[in-house]
Amino acid sequence: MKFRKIELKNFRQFYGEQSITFSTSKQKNITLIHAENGTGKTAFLNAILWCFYEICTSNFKDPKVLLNKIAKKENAKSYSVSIEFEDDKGGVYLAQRGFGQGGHKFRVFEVINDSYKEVDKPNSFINSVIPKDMAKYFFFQGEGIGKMSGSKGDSVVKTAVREILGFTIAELALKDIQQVKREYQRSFSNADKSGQLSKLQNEIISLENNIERNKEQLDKFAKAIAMYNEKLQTIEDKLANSDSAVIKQIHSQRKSTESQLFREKQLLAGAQKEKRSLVAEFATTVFGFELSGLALDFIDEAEYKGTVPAPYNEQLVTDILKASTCICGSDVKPGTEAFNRIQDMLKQAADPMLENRIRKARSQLTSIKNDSVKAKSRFTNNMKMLADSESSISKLKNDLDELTIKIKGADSLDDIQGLENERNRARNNLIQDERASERSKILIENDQKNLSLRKGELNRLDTFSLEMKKYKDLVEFSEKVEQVLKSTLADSEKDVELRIIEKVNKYLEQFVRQDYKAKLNPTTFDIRLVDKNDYIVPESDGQALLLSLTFIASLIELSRERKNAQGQILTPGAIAPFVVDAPFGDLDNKYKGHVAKAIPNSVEQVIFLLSSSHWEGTVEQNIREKVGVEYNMVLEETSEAKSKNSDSITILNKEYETVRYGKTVDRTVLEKVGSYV
Amino acid sequence: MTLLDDIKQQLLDAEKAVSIPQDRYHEMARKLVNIERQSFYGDENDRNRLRKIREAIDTAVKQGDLNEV
Repeated sequence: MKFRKIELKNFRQFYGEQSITFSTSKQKNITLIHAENGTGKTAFLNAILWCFYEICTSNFKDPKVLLNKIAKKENAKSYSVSIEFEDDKGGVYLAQRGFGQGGHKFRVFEVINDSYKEVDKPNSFINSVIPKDMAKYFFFQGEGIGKMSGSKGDSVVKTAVREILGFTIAELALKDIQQVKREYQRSFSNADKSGQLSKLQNEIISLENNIERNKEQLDKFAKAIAMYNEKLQTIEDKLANSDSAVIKQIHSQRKSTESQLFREKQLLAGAQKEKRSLVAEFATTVFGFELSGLALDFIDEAEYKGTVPAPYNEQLVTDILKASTCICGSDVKPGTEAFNRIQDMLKQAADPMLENRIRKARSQLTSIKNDSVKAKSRFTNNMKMLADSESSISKLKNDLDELTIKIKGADSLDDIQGLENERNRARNNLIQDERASERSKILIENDQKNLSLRKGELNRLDTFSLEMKKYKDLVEFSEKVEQVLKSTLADSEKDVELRIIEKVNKYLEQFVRQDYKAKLNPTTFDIRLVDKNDYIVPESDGQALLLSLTFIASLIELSRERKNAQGQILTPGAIAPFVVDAPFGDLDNKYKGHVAKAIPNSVEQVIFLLSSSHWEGTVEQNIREKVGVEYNMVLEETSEAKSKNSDSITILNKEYETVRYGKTVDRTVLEKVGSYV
Repeated sequence: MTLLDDIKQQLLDAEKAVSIPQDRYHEMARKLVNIERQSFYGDENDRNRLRKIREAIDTAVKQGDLNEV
C-alpha cells in the first residue's frame, strides 16, 4: 500500500485546506517534509492515525481538541483529514474522517475512473489494509520511542512481536472464550440440585484458576531469573575488566573457585543419587544378612547334613524295603545282610523334591550373603565420596567467602565494593526466584494431576439432568476451542526470536557496520546491544534509538513477509508506508547517514518528517538521490518579527523561510520546495 | 536456499497450516476471531461481542448433537 495524497482541513495548526502529494516512485521513494520543532510534525503524523483509526500517539497534547483555533473563532464547526492511497493491486481508495454538523463520520471510497464508490464496513476495510494494532510501527514517533532493553524493554519487544504476528485479535478471542467457558461451568454447577456434581465442578474451576495463576507466576520468575543472570554476567564482566590488577587476579581466582564449586556440587548430587539407588538395590540384602547367616547354619547342621546333595533316593530305597524285592528281582528279606545294607542306605537317602527346595534356599541365602559383601564395599565407597564432596564444598565456600572479602576490602575501590554488593543482592534474589520457580512448577504439576482426576470423575458420573448435560457439552466444546487458540498462538510464537534477531542484526550491519550486534534474551525478549567483544554496550539515548530503529525495520519486514498469511486466526501482516517523525534525533553523527540511507532501501515508501538539525549534513548526502518530493512546513505568525531572527533552511543551495511574521492568521502551511517545485 | 531461508519457509508454511480450519473447533475459533475483529476494529458494537460468541457456541454444540443423532 502507498499513500498518494493527504488533505488536512482545519486540523490542529493546519488552518484552511493544506495538502501533500506523496512520491509513489519506486526509485525515489522518499517524501521529505522539513519541519522545525513546534510547526506540526507530530500533528501531521497524528492526522494519519486519526484519519484511519481515530487514535493519536501518547505525546500528542489535547487529542480531543482537533479543530483549528482560528477556524473555531470564525465559527467553523468542521475539520477533516482525507488520505488517498493505492493498494498492492493498483486499486485506488480515499479514506475520509471528519467532524461537522452531521457529527463524526468515517467513510472509505473506491476510486474508479474519477467516480467514488463507498466501501461497506470502512473500519474493517482500513484494518484489512493496515491493522490498527500494527499501525504504530509504520507511523512511527521517533522521539517518543520506548526502550527495547532494560526493565520495560521486554514487554515492549514482546508486545510488538505479538502484534506484528497478528496475535491481538486471537488473544482477545482466547480471553472471551475463557470467560464464556467459566459462565458455562457456573451454570452447570447451578443446575446441579443434588450438589454432588457442582462440588466437583467447583473444584475443577478452582484448579484451573490456580494453574493459570501459577503459570503467570512461573513466567514472572523465569523473566526475573533471566534478568538476574544477565545482571550477574554484566557485573562479572565489569570485575573481569577492572583497572586494578589485584581485583582482576582475585576475580579470576574466584571464577575458577566457583567453577570448582559447581563441579563439586555436581559430584555431591551424583553421590546422593547413587546413595538412593544403593538403598533401593541392597535394602533386602542389608536386612536379610543376619537372617541368611542363621538360616544357612540351620540347613548345614540339621538332619540334612551329609544328605543334601543325597546319593540315594529315599522313596526308592523305602519301596525296595517294603516290597522286600530288589529292582534286579532278588528277594531282600528282613534280617538278611542284603536287607540290612539297603536299610543303611536310608541314612544317606533324601526326598528329591525336598532336596531341590533346600538347594534353591541354600543358593538364595548364599547369594544374599555374597551380596552383603558387595553392598558393604559399595556403601563404603559412596560414603567416602559423599564425605569428600561435602568437605570440598565446605572448603571451596570458605575460599569464596575469603576472596569476596578481599575484593570488597580493596582500598579506594568504592565502585568495586558497590559492584560486590550489587552482585550479592542479585545472587540472593536469583536463588530466591529459582526456589520460588521450582515451587510453582510443583504446584502446577500437582494441580494438573488433580484436575485430570476430577475431570475423569466428572465424566464417569452419569447422573446428569438434561440441563446439566447441556452445560457439560458447552464447557467441553469451549475448552476445545480454547485449546485451538492456545496452540495456534504458541506454535506461531515458536522460534520467533530467531527470526527477529536475525533481522535486527541484518539492519544493524547496514546501520553501523561492524560496531555492534544485537542479542535477544529468549525468556525476557529483552534486546541488548553488544560490542565486538560480546560485552553489553551501556545504553545511551542514541543507542536506544539505534536499537529501536533496527527493531522497527525488522518488524516492518516481518509484517511484509506475513502479508499473505491466510488470516483464519491470526491477522495477516501489511505492506505500508513508513512515516517517521524525527528518526535521527539522538543518533551519533557517525550513524545518522547509514541509517538514513538504509531505511528507504528496506521499505516501499518513506515519509520523513525532519527538522533542520536532523537533515543537514550527512543525512542529506545519503538520501538526496532517493527523494521524490520535498515539502516545507512553514509557521506563519500574526506577531511582528521585531528583533526576532529570521529562520530559514537551505535546500539544494536555495534558502527557504521556516517562519513568517506579520501574517493575517497563526497557522502552519505546507509548501513544496527543492527541485520539485 | 540458505538454511535460514529454509527455516523461514517452514515457519511461513507452518503458520499457514495452523490457520486453516481442520475441524469444528478450528472452525469455531475462526468464527470467534471474526466476531472479535468486527468489534475491535469498530464496525460492530462491542457490547454484542460476548452474546454473539455464546450464540455461535450454542449453535455449534446443537448442530453437533444433531449430527450424532
